[in-house]
Amino acid sequence: MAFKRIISTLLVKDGLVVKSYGYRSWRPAGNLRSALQNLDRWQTDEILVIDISRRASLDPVVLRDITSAGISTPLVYGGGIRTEEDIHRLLDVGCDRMVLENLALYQPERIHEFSNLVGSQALIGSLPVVSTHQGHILWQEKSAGCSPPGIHEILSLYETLPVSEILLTDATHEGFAGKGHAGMESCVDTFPGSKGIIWFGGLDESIATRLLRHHRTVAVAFGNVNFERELRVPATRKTILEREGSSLRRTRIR
Amino acid sequence: MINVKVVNYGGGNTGSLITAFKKIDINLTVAKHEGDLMAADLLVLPGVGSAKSALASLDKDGWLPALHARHQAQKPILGVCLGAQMMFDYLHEAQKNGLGWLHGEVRPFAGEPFFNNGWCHLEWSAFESIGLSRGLKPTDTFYFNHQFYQPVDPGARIVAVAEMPETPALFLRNHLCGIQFHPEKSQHAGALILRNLIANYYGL
Repeated sequence: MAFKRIISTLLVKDGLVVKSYGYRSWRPAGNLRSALQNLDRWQTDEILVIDISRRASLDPVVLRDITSAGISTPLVYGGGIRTEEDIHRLLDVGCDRMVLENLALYQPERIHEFSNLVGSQALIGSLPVVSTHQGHILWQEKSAGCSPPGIHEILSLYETLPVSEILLTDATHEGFAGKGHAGMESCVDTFPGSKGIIWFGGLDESIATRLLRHHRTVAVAFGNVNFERELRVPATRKTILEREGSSLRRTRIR
Repeated sequence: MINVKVVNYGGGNTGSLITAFKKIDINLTVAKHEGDLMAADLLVLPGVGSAKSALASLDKDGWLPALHARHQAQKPILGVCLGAQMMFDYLHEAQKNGLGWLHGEVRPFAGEPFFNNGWCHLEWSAFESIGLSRGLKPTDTFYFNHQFYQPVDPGARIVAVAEMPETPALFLRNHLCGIQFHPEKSQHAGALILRNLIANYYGL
């Protein structure tokens, strides 16, 4: 098996990187090009860019910044992917994999089409979850107009779709380090699936270390904490390596 | 300055390759017509994509005759991930014949759907005497992202294998080089491999 990954996530809104708090409020955190170049220099395992602007099409400013950053770190993109043309544009600017969001629920046939184009190894299914008195359920816009399915229903759906991994986001605690993913591992444990899980939302080093020991985990993804101070990414890696070294690769920052 | 071209078959990550070659001071450009394929000092078949779509695109866009001509002329061709897999006789994923330059069938990993996504160590074989690993450390890792793996062609030299799952990671056969991982996305270690391959194996 490949080493488990520590992913650095950049949330982008209207062309700028933002620190996000539960997807409800945002603060600007700089330009995307610089952030990508920093993460590349710090040799994070993978970079996940999620555009949360809810635009009707891919943002040309974001695509331009990805191209001009010139990074050699694997890059995953999520946010508003709708067409095969979107996939082509993302590959052309240097993205390697794509996170597909609501398509699984509303247009699963599109995921098959995309898989026929780029292969399922390049596709990741998104599963943003909120905690309610009903348990962990899919986070949805209120305008969706129907009662949201539970975590097991979406996990079950993804088992049948050509995606390689699942991005399980604790949307309630996204942006609040040290608060995320309480009870979600046991929820995943009760579902007999095989696809690897990427955990995102509210992680700190302790939670990430715990999640890395879970048998379904392929990666943990940090967001806001990347910006807490200079060189936070390698510092986080060092801390987790000391606690859970065998499952992670070692890097040499130049 | 050496002339390196990449074939864009629609699903390939040409942007990442252009960036990676730029970092080693090589201007990689996208082939625009068949003549570019024969004129290049090195031709790159990129990765990322589904085999069925990539093979169909090569056929539809008319690249196949020029590709076979270049192979017949024994001019350097580097295949990355899917680009390397397409060099073989048959691709299970597409249920179609590949380019047929190497023998064997590209198959999925055994068991339930399994993906090798992430960073792996390489084990270098005795064939690594040409300096492909020069400058690398044993702890260096390389980025893989695949569901199907290359067979072993009887005439090829398997220069490196991935540790887990143990599959060919880099092979050479005369003018052909196939790399299962993504050197263009393997940070500094990947750039070293590309530079070593071009200078020490192809002598460009």
